[in-house]
Amino acid sequence: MNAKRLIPLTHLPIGETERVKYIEDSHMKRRFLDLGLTPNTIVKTERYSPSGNPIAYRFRATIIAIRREEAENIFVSR
Amino acid sequence: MEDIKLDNLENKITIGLAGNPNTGKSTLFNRLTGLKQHTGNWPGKTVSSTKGYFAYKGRKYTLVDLPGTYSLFINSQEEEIARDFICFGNPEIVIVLVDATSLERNLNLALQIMEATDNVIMCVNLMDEAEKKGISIDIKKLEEKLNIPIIPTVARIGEGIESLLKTIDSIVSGELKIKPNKTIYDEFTERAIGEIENVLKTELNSAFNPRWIGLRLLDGDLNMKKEIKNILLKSNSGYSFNQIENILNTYDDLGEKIVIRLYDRAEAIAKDVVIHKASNKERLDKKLDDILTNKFTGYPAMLLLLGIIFWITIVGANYPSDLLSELFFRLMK
Repeated sequence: MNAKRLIPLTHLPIGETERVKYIEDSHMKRRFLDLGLTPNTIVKTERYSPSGNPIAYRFRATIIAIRREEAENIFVSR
Repeated sequence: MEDIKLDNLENKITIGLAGNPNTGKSTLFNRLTGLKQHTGNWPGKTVSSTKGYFAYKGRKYTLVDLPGTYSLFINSQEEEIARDFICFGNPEIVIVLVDATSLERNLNLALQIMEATDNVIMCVNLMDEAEKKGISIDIKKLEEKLNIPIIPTVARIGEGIESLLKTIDSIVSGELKIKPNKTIYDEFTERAIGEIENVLKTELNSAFNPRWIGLRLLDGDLNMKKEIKNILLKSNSGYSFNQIENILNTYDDLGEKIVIRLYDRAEAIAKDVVIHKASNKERLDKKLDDILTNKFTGYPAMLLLLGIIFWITIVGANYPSDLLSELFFRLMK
């Protein structure tokens, strides 16, 4: 059975793609929306920086580096 | 803002230059104004501002380089400055510079600017970078969808600048009238906009765009709310402001709907207008990133580069330095 549940973006392995489902209210939420990380947007984990933070995500034809603490507020379906 | 008013007194036409960060705005700005510019700070802010001048076909222009922003929604000082300038700075034209290599994301700001003013020119810059990445853009189709003048440019080498100047001239002379294809929202949101428009239309003079102000208020722009409150109270329209507050309380969570709608539209436009072929540059960039930023080779690469720089500074520079002192010594003899 392919049960879909929500996982934070930080749990999306490198190279994998999923759709954004929900963003937790935080001071960065509006900024994420303004960058195009809106519900239903396809996002892919591109790479991690050497220390593991920030993490590079690809969406809407660009790559944006997001701090781990902030990426934890973004939930994708998996 | 004060010195722009002075410029207006000198009959200079004000043009604002907006765009996402790193799209080549400063390059375009320098192309147009050469050395005729000065930098300072926006009043009361820590963000630097640059203003320059140029002339074309007998007219004088003031070009204001706005801070790079992804949106006009106020997330930081940069957006506040850009929004303030477009709303209260009364530019005659706003040029929005978009990055051809990430059109979809850049359209968010462009669509918002199209709501704020009719006199918008879009420059699609970094066309050379796009070509290297295998991205091509159907400019004509984009023009049809947005109904504003769109000029492909490579600001770095001055390509497209003449076309841009001609377009500016035709707008100022009245020859070209622009009616942008504005974004229409869902029924619920449009109803809210309409209600605020009705209140604002009767109170504000024609310099303000009631639809755009309505959108900003519904979007949750608290600074805008304060400004409008001041304006309405000054003209004794306190009742109107109460009406607006009631409307905002009824429709209190539209901010996200608005930005989501803008991106839906940007996505649909980009899908139709951007053609993507695979390219070698992306593969090369990715390979470099794989080496320079991975956990195991990243740190050694960084240490190696730092090591080279230190060696040059401490040891390597001694060679030319010694040669120079020998030369001067011999010259003195």
